[in-house]
Amino acid sequence: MAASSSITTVTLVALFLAHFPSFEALYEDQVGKFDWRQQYVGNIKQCIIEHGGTRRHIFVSTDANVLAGIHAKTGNVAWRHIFRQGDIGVINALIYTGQELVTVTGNGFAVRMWDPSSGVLQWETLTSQTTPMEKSQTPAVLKFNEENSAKKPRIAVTYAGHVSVVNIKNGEELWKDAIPNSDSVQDFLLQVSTDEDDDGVLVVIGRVPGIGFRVVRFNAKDGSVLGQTQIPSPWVQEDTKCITLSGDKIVCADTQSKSIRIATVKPKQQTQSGFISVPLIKLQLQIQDFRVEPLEKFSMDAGDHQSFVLRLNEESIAWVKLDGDDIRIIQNIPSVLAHSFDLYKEQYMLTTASEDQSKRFILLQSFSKDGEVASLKNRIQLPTQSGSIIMVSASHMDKKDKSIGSRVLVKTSDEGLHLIQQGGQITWSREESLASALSVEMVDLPVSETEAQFEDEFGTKKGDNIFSMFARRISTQMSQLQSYFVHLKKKIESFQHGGVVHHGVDQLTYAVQYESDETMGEYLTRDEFSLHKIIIVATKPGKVFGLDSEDGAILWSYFLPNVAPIERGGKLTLPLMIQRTTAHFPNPPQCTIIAKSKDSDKNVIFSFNPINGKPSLPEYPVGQVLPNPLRQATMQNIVDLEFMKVIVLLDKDNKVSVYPSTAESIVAKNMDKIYLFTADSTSGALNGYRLLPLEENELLKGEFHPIFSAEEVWHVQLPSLLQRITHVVSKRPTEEVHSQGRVLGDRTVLYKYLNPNLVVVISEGEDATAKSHVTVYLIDVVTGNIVFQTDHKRVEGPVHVVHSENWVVYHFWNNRFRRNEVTVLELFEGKSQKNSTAFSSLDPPSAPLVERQSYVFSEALQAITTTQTEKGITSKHVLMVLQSGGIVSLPKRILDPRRPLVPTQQHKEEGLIPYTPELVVPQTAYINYNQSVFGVRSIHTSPAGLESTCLVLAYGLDFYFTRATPSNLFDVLKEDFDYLLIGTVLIGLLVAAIVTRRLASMKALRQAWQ
Amino acid sequence: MAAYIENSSKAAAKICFQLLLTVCVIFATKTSKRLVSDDGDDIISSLSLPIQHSIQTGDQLVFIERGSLNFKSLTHGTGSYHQSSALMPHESNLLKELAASGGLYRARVPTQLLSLQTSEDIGYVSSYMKACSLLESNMSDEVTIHADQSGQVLGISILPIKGTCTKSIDEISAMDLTTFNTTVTLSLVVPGPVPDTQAYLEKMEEERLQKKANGTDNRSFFAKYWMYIIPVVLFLMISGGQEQPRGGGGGGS
Repeated sequence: MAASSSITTVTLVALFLAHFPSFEALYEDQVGKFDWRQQYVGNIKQCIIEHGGTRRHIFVSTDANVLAGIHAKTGNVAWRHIFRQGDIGVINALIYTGQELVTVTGNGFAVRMWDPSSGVLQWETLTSQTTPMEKSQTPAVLKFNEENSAKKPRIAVTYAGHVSVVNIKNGEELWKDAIPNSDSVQDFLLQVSTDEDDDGVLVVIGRVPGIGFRVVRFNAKDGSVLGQTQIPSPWVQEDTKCITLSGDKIVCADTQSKSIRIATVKPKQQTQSGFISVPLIKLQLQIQDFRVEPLEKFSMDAGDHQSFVLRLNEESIAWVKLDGDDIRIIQNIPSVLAHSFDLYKEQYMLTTASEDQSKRFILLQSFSKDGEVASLKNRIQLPTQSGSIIMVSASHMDKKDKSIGSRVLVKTSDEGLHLIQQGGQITWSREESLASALSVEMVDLPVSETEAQFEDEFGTKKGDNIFSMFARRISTQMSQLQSYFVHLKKKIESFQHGGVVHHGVDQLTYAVQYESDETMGEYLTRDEFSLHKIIIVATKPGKVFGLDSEDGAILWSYFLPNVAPIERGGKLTLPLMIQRTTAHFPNPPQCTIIAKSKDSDKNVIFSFNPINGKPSLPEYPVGQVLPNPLRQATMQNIVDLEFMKVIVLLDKDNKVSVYPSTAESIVAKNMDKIYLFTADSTSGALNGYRLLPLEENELLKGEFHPIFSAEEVWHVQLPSLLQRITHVVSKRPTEEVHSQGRVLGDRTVLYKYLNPNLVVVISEGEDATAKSHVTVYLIDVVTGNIVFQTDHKRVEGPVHVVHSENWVVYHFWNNRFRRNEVTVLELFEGKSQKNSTAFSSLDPPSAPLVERQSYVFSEALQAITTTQTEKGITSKHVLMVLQSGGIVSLPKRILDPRRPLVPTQQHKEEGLIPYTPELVVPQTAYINYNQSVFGVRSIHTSPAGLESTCLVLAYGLDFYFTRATPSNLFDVLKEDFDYLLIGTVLIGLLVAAIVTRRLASMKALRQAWQ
Repeated sequence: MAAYIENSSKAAAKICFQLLLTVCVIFATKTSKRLVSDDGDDIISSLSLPIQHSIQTGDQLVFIERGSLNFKSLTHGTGSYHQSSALMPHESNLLKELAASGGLYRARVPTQLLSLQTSEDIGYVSSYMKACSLLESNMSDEVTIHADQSGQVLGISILPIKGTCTKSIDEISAMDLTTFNTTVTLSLVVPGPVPDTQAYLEKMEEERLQKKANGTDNRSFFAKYWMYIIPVVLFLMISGGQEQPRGGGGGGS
C-alpha cells in the first residue's frame, strides 16, 4: 500500500514538473532550420597529408591542443579530438607511419595511437605514473624500426630524464630507462644506429649549453646501457639548433662563428672525437640568421641520405648533403617562404612556396635531388585577404597516367588553410582564425533600396512640395511592385528546378563564394523580423569576418596583418564596437576595432562597414596608429550629427582624445556627463576620472591629439597582495529593462536597483592561510562607491559571471565540498523608488537590499550569458555552455534569490518556486539538442526584431548559432495554424450574418404589414 | 629568483604583520570596551581613521585634515565622526566658492584602518561629491568605509543627504558653515551565500515526520484514489466507444 501511494506521489510530482517550467523543444524536422554548427581545429602546428589508396585525410595537430582528420576532398572535419587545455594536452609530435597515427602529448607524458580513417583511439601508453610538471622539457621523439624491419616500428620518447621505447603496433612499453647525468641537459636528441653485431642502438644525446653533449647508448631491444661518452663543445649556446643524421652524425648550426659543426658519435670502445667546423663562407652562401632543419621531423632520414636543410635567412634555403666531413649543396633556392619534404618513390621531394613581387600570386615549385620538376610548377592566386605563407606541406603521388602529381597544403599568416591540387586549383580553404575569435557582434542588415527610398519621402529636403512627394511615393511603390514580381518569378523558377538553395546542418565550413554582388546585395536585406543578421567576428590573428547568420557562410573577410590583440591581465581582448547601426540611412553603418600594433606598444584603430567589410576610411586600409598607447577606450552613448556614437580614448598620460575627431565639440558639450574608469588587475587599483578641458597651449592640431585631460576623482584599492582582479563586468549598454519592479504577493511593488553605472569586479586569489577564495565587489564606477562586497571562502575559479538588469549570476568551483556552485545576487531599492525616471550616481537611493542565494550545480561551465530581447518584455533566461558540450537555457525564475525554503501563501501568490539546494538541469533545457559544442570561449546574444526571439552564438573552437525563445513564440502564429478553418468559419459567419439580417428585416416588414 | 624570494618573503612578512595587527585589534577592542564602560565616554575609541578633504577650487588638490572617523570594533557596523576643530572662516569661504563654481568636494582616508599614519608611503582611497549638494544638505553627509576583515580599507563612499543643487549663490554665501553633521558606517565584506542543504534536509525530514505523525492511511486503495480512477475509467469507456486514432501533435512551438 505504501509503495503504491509513493508511486502516485511520484507521478503527481512528475506531472507537476512537466507542466512547471515551460521549456520548448524542437520537432525533428526543425533540426538545422534555425541553427547551425561549425567545427574548427585551431591554428595548425603540424600537418600530414595521407596518400595512396582510398585514404583521403589530412591529419593536423594545432595550438588549441586538437588532433583532427580533415577530408582532403571537402575540407570538412572527419574526426576531431580535443585534448586538455594547458601543458598536459599539448601535442608535441604527430607521426604517421602509413598504417598508424601516433601522437605524443603532455611534453612526453602520453603516447597514443589512433586509427587514421576513423580517429578511434587504438592504444594509450603513459610514460610516467605522475602527471606532468608545469614546466617540463619539450620531449625528443623518434620513430625507428627495430632490426631495420618495417614490421617492428618503435617510438622513442624522452620524459623527465627517462627514455621510453614503445611498440607502435600494440602500444606495449618495451623498456624504459633513466638517462644518466641528465640534470643540466637543456634538451635531448635521439638517434638510431647499429653496432658491430648489427644490433640496433638507440643513442640519446643530451645538449648542455656551454659544456657540450652527453651521449648515452642503449640497446634498442632491451634498453641495457652500452656506453656513455661526452663530446666537449663549449660553443654550444642556449638556442643552438642541432639535428641528428643517419651514420651517427650530429650537425649543429653555430651562429657565432657562422659555421656548421659536424661530429660522429663513435661506438664505446673508441675515443670520442670532437666537432669539425665547416664555415659557411666556403659554401658561398648568403647568411644572416641561419639554422639547420632535418628533412623529416621525428624520424631519421630514409636510407643513407645524410642530407638536411640549411635555412639561410627568412627568405632562402639550401638543401645540402654531408659528404664525408664536408658539405655539398644539392639545391640552393634563393626565395622561399616555406618548404616541405616528402618521400616519393623512396626519394625526397622538396616543395617550396614563394611570393611574387606584387604579393598577389604564390609560386609553388617541386625539386627532386636532381633538379626542379618543371611539370609541378604552379602559380596560384590565393584569396585576397590571406596574408603571407608561413607553412607548406606537400605530398607527391602517381597520377592515373603514371606521371607525377602533387597536393600541397598551404598555411597563411591569417591562420587560413588552403589545399592546392595539381594544376593550381584551390580545392578548399579553411578559415581557422575563426577558432580564435575574440569578439563578436551582430549587426542588422540594411533595408532594401526601395524601402530606403520610402524613408526619403519624408526626407525633409527643402523645396519639397506635396506633389513631388506624392510622385516619389507612386514611383517607389511601382518599383516595389516590380521587385515583388521579380522575386515571385525567381521563386517559381527555383521551385521548378527542384528545391531551394539552403545550407543545412552539413554546411561546409569553408567560404561560400557568392557569384555576383548583385544577388548578394538583394540577399542581404533586412527581413520582416530582423532575424537575419550579419555576425561580425574579430579574431586573434587580426582577421575580421562577416558571417551570414542564416547558415554561417563567410560573406566577407578582411585581414589586418599589422595588428595583435590587446593583453590585459593574461587575457587577450580585441574590442569591437558598433559605432553606427544600419538604422541611419543614408549614413553607412560603422564598426570599429581597437587593437595593439604588432611591432610597437601603440594601438591601432580600424573602422569598417560591417555589411560589406570595406574600410570606412579607404585612405587607411589597415587602420590608423594612435600616437600614444591607450589605457582605456569606451564607447559613449553620445552621437554626433551623423548618428555616430563617440569613442573616448584615454591614453597612458591620462590625456583623452575622441574618435571620430569631428565629434569633439559634442563631447565638450557633454563633458560633465562622461566618467571613465580603469582597473589594474595586478595592483588591484580602480580609478575613476572626469574630463577637464586642456589648456590652450597644450592643444595640438590633428587627429587623435588629446583635447581633454582626465582627472582622477575616486580611487578604490582592492587587496592585491595575494589576489588578482580577473573580471570587470559591466551591464550591456544596449540592454532594455521593461519592468521597474516586482509585484509581491501582497500587491506591493519591490523596486529593482537599476544602476547603469554598476560594475561587477571579481578578484580571485588566496587568503592569509593559503586557502583559495573569490571576492565579488559591486562598484558604482561614477563615484567609486562599493555598493556590495561578498567573499566566498575555499572556492576557486575560473569564475563565469553574467551581469544584467539588477542581478548578477556567477559560477565557480567549491574546493571544500568538491562541487560546482552557482550564486545569484539580486539588488532591490525597496518598497519605494527614489527617482522613477532617471538614476543618478551622485544622488543615489539608499544602499540597496541585496538578496542572495547559492545552489549546487552539477556541471562545469565554459561560458555564461543571458538572453536579450528587443524591449526586455520577454522573461530572461540564463544561457550556460557546459563543459560536457551542452548549451542550457535556464529560466531566471529558477535562479531567484527570493525562493523561500518554506513557502507562505504570499510567496505562492507571487509565483516563487520553493528553494531546493540543487539546480537540476532538465533535458529539455538543452537548446543545442545533440549538436554538442566544445572549446567554447564565450557566448553572445543579440535581440531579433521579434520581441520573443533572441539570437544566440556560442563561439570558440566550435560555433553554434540558434534562436532562443524564453517565453515561447508568443508573438508569432504557430506554423500549423489553421488559416483555412478560421477563414471558412469567418466567411461562414459573415454570410450567416448577412442572410439572417435579410431574413430578419423581411420578417419585420411582414409583421409591420399585419 | 632572488627577487622572487624577496617578494614572497615580503608577502609573508606582510601577512604576519596583518595577523599581528588583527590580534592587536582584538586586544585593543577589549581594552577599549573596558574604557568605555569605566567612564562612559564614547570619544575614546580603538579604531580611528583620519579623514581629509580638499576644498580648493582649481586644478590643484590640497587635502587638509577634516576630522576623524571612529569605530568601536571591526565588527561594529556604525561609527562616529569627530571634528577636531570647526571650519575656519577662510575654509568655509573656500567651500562656498567651490560650491558656487560647481566644483567637486573630495574626501580621502588612508587604506589602513589601524593607526599607521606615521609611515610616509601611505595609500589613500578617495571619493567625491558635488560641493553644492553638501551645502544643500546643510553640511550633512553619510560616509561609508568599505573594509575587509584584515582592516584594510578598500574604498570610501561619501554621499550628501540631498543630492540636488537648487540653492542660489546668495543663499550659499549666507550660510554658516562650521561643523559637519556626519553619519559614519563601516561596511565589511560579507561571507557569500552557500547552498543551504542542511536546512533543506531538515525540512524534508520534518515533512516526513509530520506525515508519519498524521498516522498511516488505512483506507483501501479504491477508497483513496476513487477520484482519479473514475475519470480514467470514464474516459476509457468514452474513447473506446468511438474509434478514431488521432495523432499526437500539440505542445511545443
